[in-house]
Amino acid sequence: MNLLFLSEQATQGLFELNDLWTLLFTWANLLILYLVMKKFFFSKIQAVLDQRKSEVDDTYRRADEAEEEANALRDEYDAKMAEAEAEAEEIVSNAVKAARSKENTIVSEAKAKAAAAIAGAEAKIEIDRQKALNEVKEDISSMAVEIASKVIERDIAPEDHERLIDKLIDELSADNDAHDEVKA
Amino acid sequence: MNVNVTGPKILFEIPFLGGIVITESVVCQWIFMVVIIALSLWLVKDLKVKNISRKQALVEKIYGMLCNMVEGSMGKRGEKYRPYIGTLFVFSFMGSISGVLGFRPYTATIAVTGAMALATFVMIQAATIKDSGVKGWIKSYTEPFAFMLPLNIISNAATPVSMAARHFGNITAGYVITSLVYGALGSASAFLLQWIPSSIFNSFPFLQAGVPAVLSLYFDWFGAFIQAFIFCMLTMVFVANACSAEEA
Repeated sequence: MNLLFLSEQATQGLFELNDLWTLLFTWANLLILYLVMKKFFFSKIQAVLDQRKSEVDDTYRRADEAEEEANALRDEYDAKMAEAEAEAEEIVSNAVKAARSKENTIVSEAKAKAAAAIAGAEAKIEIDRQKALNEVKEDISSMAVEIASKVIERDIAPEDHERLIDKLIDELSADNDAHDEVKA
Repeated sequence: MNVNVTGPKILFEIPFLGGIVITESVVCQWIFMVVIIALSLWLVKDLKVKNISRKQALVEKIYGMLCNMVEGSMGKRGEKYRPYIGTLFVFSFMGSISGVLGFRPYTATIAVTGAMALATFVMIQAATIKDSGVKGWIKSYTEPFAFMLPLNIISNAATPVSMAARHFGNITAGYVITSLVYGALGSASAFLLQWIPSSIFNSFPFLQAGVPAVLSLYFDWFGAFIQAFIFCMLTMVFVANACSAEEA
């Protein structure tokens, strides 16, 4: 009887010594193949995959770090920009304030000066007018006295005449002033 | 035409320890071990991290499939079993497919599939011992009740027996059927050509070309793949079951 699944010369029994050798050799072969494959095939592939994984992880980590850094820089920049803006605004507002106050002082000074100048000028005008008026009055009174002395050929007490004439002139000038006012 | 389907031939005997018998199956294993190792070494030659070659992409793809398969049935602890499962798969597949190259498939030998199944059995027991200690391992045979001991022993022993028998049976059946069909086709072509007087022409087995290839596609390629896959799957499932669930 040639059992199909046993070696050719196995003629009796289910499991002959021949097959035991085959079994043992198969075990040994499987073990050797396993060890060789593990060392020279699977671990090599796994090593490459692990290395790639670690590189990818590293790349991701670096990218995250770079992003974080960029964000930090942007925040810093934003903060600085805001600070600078605030500073600029403050400077401008200070300058405007200073300018405004300076303007106010200048204007008020100018006004005061102008007012003083106007007042001085008015006073001077008044003094000049008075002076001129007095001169005219004196001239007129002296002329009147001269004319009168020529007319009566004698000297009258000049003080009395002058007084009289002054009074006359005052009256006249008062009339004149009234006339001027009406004219104005 | 005679069709002779036999067990593996005894090729030679080493006169040592009462004669170490070397059968066809063992020699075939050696040949395929050399082929597998050479192929593996070629495949992992200059692996790179970046700018990988097509060859490496294929290797990584296959390796990824293996990882998924192992992780799918064993979970995280599958990592240390991965090389063994991969080796077992290639060993089984190459053994079954060797019929295509004219070898007698070594997985069509009960001693070979038996050895593979015993290896799985040892792994299952080792995983149980590693997981729950020797005491726990012995105790696992008396659970849930002490009188279940014989049943537990039978059920544990049945695992490698059924695995070995399944693998062996499938591949052997395929091998026998293809041999028979091959022989039958030879006879049929001889019958059809017998009217040709020339003995050179009438013995030409033209039917043997083509038709067996279809059968081979199923019995050799598909069968070899499925049996290797089932064997690895069962190994993983049994070993994973032997470990406690919380480790997964």
